[in-house]
Amino acid sequence: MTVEAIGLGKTYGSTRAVDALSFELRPGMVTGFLGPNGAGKSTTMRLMLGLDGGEGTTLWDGKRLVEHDHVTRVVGAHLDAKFFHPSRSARNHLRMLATEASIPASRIDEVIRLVGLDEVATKRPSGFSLGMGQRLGLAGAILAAPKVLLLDEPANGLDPQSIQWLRDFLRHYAGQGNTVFVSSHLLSEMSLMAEHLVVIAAGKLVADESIDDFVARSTRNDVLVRCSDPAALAAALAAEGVVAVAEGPDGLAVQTADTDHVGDLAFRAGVTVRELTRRTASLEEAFLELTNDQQQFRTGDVA
Amino acid sequence: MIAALRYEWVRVTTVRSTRLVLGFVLVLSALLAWLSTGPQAFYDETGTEIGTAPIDWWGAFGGPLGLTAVLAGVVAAQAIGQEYRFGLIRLTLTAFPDRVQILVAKLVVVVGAAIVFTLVSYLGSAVGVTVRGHPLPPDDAVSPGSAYLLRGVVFVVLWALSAFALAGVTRQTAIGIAVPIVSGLIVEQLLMALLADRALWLVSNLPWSSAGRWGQELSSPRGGSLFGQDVSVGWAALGVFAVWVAVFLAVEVVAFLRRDA
Repeated sequence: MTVEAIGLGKTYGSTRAVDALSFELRPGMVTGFLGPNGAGKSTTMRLMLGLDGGEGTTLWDGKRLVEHDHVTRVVGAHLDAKFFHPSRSARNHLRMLATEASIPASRIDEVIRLVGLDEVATKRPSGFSLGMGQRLGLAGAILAAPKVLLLDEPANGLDPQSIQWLRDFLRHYAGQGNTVFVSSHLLSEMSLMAEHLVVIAAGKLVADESIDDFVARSTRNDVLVRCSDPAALAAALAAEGVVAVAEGPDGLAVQTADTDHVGDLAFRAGVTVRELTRRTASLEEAFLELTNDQQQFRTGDVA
Repeated sequence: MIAALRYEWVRVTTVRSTRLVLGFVLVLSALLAWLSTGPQAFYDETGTEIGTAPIDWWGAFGGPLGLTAVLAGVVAAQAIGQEYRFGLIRLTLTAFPDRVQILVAKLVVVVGAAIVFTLVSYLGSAVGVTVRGHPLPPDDAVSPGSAYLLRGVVFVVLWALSAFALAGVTRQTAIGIAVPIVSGLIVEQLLMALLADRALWLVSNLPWSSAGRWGQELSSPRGGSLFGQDVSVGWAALGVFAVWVAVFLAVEVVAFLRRDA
């Protein structure tokens, strides 16, 4: 199911939290949703679900959510790990959510087993850890096997094994032709989990592209070359219009991704090459570079 | 709509406090009925018993309803207040994005729960009276009629709706529970004392003190008037309370439909 967010906007007092945000979520892939703290990710998700009033609309397979017969079969949302009543057991919590689409009890038990809550399913969840709350939230989201999953920071509080399980599960879920939209601060996880990214900062769209394209936009993608005569190689590169910056006593950081080209130029310039390495920015580096100037809650420098 | 009703039904019945409160209603009603129907002897100045007071058999059913209304108000306030407190409203409105539908379902369940609470209270009262050894129905009680019991149901339902509306508007369960009690027992009593001479029309039509007159039987001309019709004081008082509740609910409806979840 394709999800189209069209012109989403929200203002709190004098703060423009989300500003004319439009993007499309495609089925069959995990789309990551990134942005600094306060960028408007959670607000965007709430706007998509119609929980908050604001501008714009979101179409789920061409229709507004309210126009679908069984909404829980369209979208399953997990917005917070603490959205449960402390004295209603996990199983009863899911029983309640199951009513919208008349989901049988067998499916509730299946989902409880899937997320690993079978031992505590009938207990009061007031003592649940953050990780257990995440599992219960995820169980609620996938209960009706919806075509779209909307997950806000689902990996928070999970142990490494559970994070790996979540990653595998979401990729598998998307692989079945479903649409998965997930926000996370764990950028290393996002790089393993998502194929496509929607990045926002200060409520505005920064990127809506594949992870590879997003990372490739970073200026940190370059070629490190250590050689016998950096000055001569820099001149040869400049003659070809390639920018190079000195790095260390015998190194150059060359603004290109083409190691062959740098090697050929060095050979023609008579420069001995000692190291030739293509350096690719991580998702984290690319994210920080592209959103750093739009961070709402800026931290101080570490001395 | 059926799904929304089932959702609300499962929501209200799977919280332990609902069952606990309902148990309180049964036990406390039985206890209050048992206490209020005990023998009350009259004595002369020499200490000799000269007779016994007639048993307030109907009072045994009406008396506990004040407490029943408060406890039904607890469940009603929780029906909306706890949704906001625990963030569940976002799950609810994601599953049921048609807010009118879920609000109607909540109101139906609150009204249904209030009726069940009242009937359980009557059952408790019947148990208390029976345990005291009085026949059921009594031989010697003057019956105020089934209208009395019906007014009791309406009183509890309206009280629960007022608690629901206040908790919904403020998104605070405690407000929905406490405001009717504090207002009825303290604030409105103070207003009555202060303004009775200057604004009798006002103090005669305050919400929860009007509700408190639900059991009065007097008819016109000593009774009341509702929309120009002579009715018993009890019905007239409930009519005033119903108007207040309608206002509270109107504000809640607008707030629920328009505000962010």
